[in-house]
Amino acid sequence: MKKLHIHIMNNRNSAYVYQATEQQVREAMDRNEDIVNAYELTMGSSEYDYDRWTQSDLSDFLDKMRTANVLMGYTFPTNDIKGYAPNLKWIHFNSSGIEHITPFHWVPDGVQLTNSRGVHQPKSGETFATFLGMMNSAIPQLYTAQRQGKWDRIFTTVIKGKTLVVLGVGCQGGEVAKQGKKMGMRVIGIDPYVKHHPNCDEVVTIDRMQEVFAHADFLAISAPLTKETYRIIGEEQLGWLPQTASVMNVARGQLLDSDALDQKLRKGQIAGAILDVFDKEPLEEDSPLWSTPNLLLTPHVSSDDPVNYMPRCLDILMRNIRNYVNGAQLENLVDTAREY
Amino acid sequence: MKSQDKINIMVLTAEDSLKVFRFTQDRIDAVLERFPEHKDKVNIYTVRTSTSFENTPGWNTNDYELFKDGIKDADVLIGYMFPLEDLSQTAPHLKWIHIIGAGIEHLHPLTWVPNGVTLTNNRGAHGPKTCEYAMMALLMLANNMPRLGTAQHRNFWDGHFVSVIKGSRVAIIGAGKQGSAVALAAKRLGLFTIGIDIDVTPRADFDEIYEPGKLHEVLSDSDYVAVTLPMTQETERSIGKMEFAAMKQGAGFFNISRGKIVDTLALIESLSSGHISGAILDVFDAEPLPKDSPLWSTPNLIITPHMGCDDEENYIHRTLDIVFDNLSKFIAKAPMQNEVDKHKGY
Repeated sequence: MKKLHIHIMNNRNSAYVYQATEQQVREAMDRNEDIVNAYELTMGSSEYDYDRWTQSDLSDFLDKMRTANVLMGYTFPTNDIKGYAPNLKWIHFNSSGIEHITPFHWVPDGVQLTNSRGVHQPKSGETFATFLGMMNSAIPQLYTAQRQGKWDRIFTTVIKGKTLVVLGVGCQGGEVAKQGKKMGMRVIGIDPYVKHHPNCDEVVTIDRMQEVFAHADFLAISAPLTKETYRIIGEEQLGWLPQTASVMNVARGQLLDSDALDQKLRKGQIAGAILDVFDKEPLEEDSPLWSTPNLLLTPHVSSDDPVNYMPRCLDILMRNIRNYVNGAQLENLVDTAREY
Repeated sequence: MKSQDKINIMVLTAEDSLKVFRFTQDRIDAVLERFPEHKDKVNIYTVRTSTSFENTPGWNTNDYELFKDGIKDADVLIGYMFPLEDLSQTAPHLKWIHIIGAGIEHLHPLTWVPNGVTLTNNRGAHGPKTCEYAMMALLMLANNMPRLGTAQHRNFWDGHFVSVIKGSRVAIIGAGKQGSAVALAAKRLGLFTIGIDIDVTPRADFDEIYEPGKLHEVLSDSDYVAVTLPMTQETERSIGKMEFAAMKQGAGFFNISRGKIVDTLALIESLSSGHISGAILDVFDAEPLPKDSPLWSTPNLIITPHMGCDDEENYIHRTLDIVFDNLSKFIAKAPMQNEVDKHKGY
């Protein structure tokens, strides 16, 4: 059998956590020694935005893609892939969310897409446990009081027995649910496709959102961003939550109407919130969210682990090379119709 | 109120006490239900003064009268603060005082305790809440939440990535009930736990335990430092300049025991210079923390207003459980749990 040609494209101006180093690649190859003769591997790099690619970014990429069977990367030209990469079998994204490149009309017949959902554990699990504990201890409210130099003695009780609603129980939501269960919470998932989840007491469909929101102590937003989920949580949906509830968004900023959240927090109609993701990142310096009361912001850091992230991405790639060689189905396939 | 054939238990509480510390009849009824074997042996009565005795300006004449009237029949007193002088005269039957606090330095020195009266404290009542708070504090430090809070205050997108806490090391200074709750939290997160205590007997959830002489050595090799000491003459300001200097560059620090154990200025200096990476404080020299305290604006610090270990729903339930667990021993005149060593002061 002819060796597969794997091409790994780094975006050199991305944070280092998202770039595969030669050493990480070598270590991933060593961890998967059994298939080391099944492929040849090349590496390249480019600017992040395609319209800023240099001449040599493009010529090097096109040169590699003439023979590449597998591309691992994040951004690349999507027009005429069949023409410039006639041998391409699949594209592996080194991210979980791939909404940046939707809709998927550009995907040629016979080319599969895989993403890196699942690589964020165990880091994401630790962060989700942090946020759940912080919401329960009213840390967003207490930090607002601290900024105002106010001794505001809010007492809280243990988290055990409280109700966590998880919107979207895929890889990320499943991890939120797992942390909730570990803390002794009652966990309700909302998902259009998942019917049961080992870490949810119950999973309901989206049409029951209002009903389950009414009993939530905490809402975790952990859905993929698609045309269906864009602004899925707005003023109306936030209004279904009790005044004592807190909200965290760890998925994508566009899932949530952050202006509506800002208003609810200012009016005290929601107790507190933690946001790790935003419409525009970095968040603009003049965004009102920086000083919204009872809101804590983290700069999209909940899930990306500088030690473990890229090795786990590379391991998915390696497992899929093995799957391909054995004629098995690839893991982490993207459903192009659902867009995740 | 006195009952001839029952143990007379006086609960001293205040009209203005916070929900978390309030002795309601519901909560008292609930403990009698939980301990049906003691239900007929005790006569519990509540003395509700206008405010707590430690509050300035303290009690009015009526409050003193209420206290005097209640205490003269009491075999047992459950309370936090009250007039300490002449107890042997005002409380001729008193045999046992249970203090609703784990730290009782507000009653030091304990020379006022009449002969024949046993003093117990509330250590352990805070367990589950302390464990949750400690888990959160460790995770917040691991995720650089104090630093990110400071960045938010400055509208600054401080994007940087950190790895997992699992496998890190935590020094827990004071390995009593509170320190043990922190150790349990740390073990659940996969940390290596090192205790510092005058008693180095091995105990659950501590991988290692050393005497105070080893403090600096342990600090130099720990990613996180938790202060869980009782407040005594020996521990006052025992975490100062030298101790912060001994800590690892980038260490995370939290104090949930008593503010006076830590030299606040040394902490501020260590945070401001970036030597330690972040801190969380639940306790302070003076509480409420004064308006003009420099702590309010110290970078990389998160302040919680002494609420971390007190469970609003369960604190009084757990307090009463400690008292009722002790009742059989009290009746049998056997040593009780949580007895305070009058010389050590805790």
